[in-house]
Amino acid sequence: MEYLINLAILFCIYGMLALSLNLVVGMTGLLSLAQAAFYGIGAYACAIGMTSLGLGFFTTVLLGILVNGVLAFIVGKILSRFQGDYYAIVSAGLSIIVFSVLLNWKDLTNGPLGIFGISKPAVFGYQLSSNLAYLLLCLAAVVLSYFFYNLIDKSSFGRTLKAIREDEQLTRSLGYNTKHFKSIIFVISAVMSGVVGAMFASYIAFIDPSTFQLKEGIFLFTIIIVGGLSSARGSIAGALILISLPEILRFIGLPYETAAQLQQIIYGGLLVLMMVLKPQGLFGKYKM
Amino acid sequence: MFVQLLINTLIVGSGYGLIAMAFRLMYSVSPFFNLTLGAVAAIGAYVTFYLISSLGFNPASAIVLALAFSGLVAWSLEAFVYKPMRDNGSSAMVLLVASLGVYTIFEALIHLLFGAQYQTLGTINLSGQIDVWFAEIPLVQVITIVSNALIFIGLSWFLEHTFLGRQIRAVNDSATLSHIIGMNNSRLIMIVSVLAGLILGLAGILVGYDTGMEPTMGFNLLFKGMIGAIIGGMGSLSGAFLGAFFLAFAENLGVWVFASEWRDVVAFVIFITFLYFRPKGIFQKKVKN
Amino acid sequence: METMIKVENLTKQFMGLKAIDDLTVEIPAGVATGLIGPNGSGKTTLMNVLTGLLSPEAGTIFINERRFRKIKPNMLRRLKIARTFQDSRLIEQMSVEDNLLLPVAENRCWHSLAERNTNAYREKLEAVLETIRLKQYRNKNAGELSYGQRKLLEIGRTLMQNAEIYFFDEPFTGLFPEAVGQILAIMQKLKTAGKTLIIIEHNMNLIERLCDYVAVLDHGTLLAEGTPAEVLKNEQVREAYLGK
Repeated sequence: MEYLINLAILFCIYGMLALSLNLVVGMTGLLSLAQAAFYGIGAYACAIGMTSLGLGFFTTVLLGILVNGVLAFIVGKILSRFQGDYYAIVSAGLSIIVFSVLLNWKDLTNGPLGIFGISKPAVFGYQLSSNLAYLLLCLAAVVLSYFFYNLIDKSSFGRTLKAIREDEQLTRSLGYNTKHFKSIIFVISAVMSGVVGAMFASYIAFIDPSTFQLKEGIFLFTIIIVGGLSSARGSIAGALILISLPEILRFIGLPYETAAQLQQIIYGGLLVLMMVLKPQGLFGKYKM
Repeated sequence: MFVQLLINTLIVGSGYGLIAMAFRLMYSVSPFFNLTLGAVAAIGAYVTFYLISSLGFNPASAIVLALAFSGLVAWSLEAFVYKPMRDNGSSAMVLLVASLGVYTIFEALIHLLFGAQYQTLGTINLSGQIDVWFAEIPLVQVITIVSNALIFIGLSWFLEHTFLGRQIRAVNDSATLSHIIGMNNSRLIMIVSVLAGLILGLAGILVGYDTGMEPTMGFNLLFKGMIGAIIGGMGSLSGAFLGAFFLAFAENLGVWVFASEWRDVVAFVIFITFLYFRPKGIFQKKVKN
Repeated sequence: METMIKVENLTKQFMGLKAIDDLTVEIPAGVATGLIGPNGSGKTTLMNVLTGLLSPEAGTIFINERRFRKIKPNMLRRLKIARTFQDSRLIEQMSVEDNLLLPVAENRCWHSLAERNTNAYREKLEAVLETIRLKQYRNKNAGELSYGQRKLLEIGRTLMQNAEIYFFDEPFTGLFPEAVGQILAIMQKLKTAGKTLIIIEHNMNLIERLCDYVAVLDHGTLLAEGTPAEVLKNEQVREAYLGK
């Protein structure tokens, strides 16, 4: 039972991350590989806030939102200069920079050793000590994120973003400050994944930089490519598929190291297969 | 100290230069960020390692075979993955994502077959040193510097003076136009793939001898080569060649000023700064309109 | 006639080739102006400069007596300029309806996030869908439409824009007579409403039917201007353009 609850919480976390990434990659067509960086910053804000500073969970979430918001605004401004594959490479570079900072700024992040003893949040004075209670919090957050995604999707704002991904010049000539739009959606998405990072940190109780590498960003990217670009349903479906995959491999009984690599091979294969057969993903509404 | 910095620049830059030129060559006929190029370099190194340590080949024949294998891998990827996709009208983004998938597969395969630990070709051979002026430079680094220079000269000549080279430049200028005037683009891309594969394989082997190898080496190498090519300006081969040295210089300067663990940060900050302020690269001549 | 657009000594080069060469021309307000000339005479280039797709090397542009060195794409909404393209530029992976609604949202992100196509837009949308007769295709993606429907959709988008100045780049080319009639009717209606129209067109019959004024370009310079009848009588024009 605990195993299933744990798995369900992971689903929720990756589902939300996928939703947040899909706002940028699917809806706006910006190939960002930097999502793991904001996820990591949110997690570290929570970890540092709750351990060293002794703040409550929700205060650290606010802290993470603030840090991520400012950083994403700057990063988004930088990225708004680039398009297509250049965007992907520059965002990957930014992700590597953030990872290096988490790894090497030892005074703040405790370096590769990571941070221990992050506690679970208290909601209205009720300490969410059991995993089941935490799962409920996560489910609520997923539902909220799902509706938030659809709110943007159906708004005029979302329509403008979708126009930008196909023809930015035309969208500009129809009267939109497209750079501003891109930067705003980037900040929204970064803040969202930062909040998820805080939830992850407080659930897992221990974080270290290795979770927030470029690889993680690529993994998130794989989720939405498989599940479907520009689709809330696709984000959730992708997370379900890609999170359950390693569990299935584990059931087969492969040794850990082999299973981990086999998993990578399957992820890679899925990416290629999707690109060849259905570049918009299973439930996707946008074809790159 | 400054001389040491320059020598380091020369050594590191030569390594980056090989990758940068291969990347640039490939990009000129097939304009997308092909991440599998990194895997090809890693394959070169690991195949050499396998042939020498497991099958007992002598280094020379192992290297030749490994180079041939790198070329073959590059060719088959082009023939069986990218060409069919391109014929289907896939965009550069789709190709980039597919290459990310292919790269992931190769890296995991290397990991499965050889393990995650650091390995080096260096203990096997080629560990002599050469006294140059007042510094002692390991033989393999001398070879890196020389082969980078020779390949640059050779490729420049090839692009300038041969029929094939001129075709490559024509495709670079306009893929559709050259298609219209009846040049066989896909055959050209195949040839360039093999050529790039050979250069990448060589780069991987040299790195394997010099600093050693791990499954993720391909990605790191390719990233540095790509940065070199881009900050040098994607317009020309000499841009890639010079850009690699510039990157190496800046990186070593950064390591000197800060500490070695900030090497990647320095590289990427430089990359992004240059791309931001000089999107056409530092060595790009100003073309009117 | 009042002047809506005026360019003075405008020059635009491509790789040393002068697509527009020291051009000075005035476009009258509230009427339809035909922009004609042989291929490569600089018509589309002029339109692209005036709608912010290209920036000129030299010259001045006056729109409604306001002076500009160049036009930027994001100025078009404020200047109340709308345009179509020779090869229709639509958002392919977006429905007909959304393509039409695209130009009417707020430019401010937070406002447009809350904005849900208020009724005013809805009414207008229905009216435009009626005019361009694409009602039954409203939920289809633009990429699935036929050539003629695409042209109509693009014109529909300009109608949504509340513009004062309309640029049409070869709106009739390749269309069946029925669609030509439909588009002619739309343009007549715009004229009646006092809008300024600038139309690039090769078919002289259509020009004569629609336009009150014609500017003839050749090699990036103004060859002649005047009413269609006057211009067609011009010897130089007949030589350069009609080859007679």
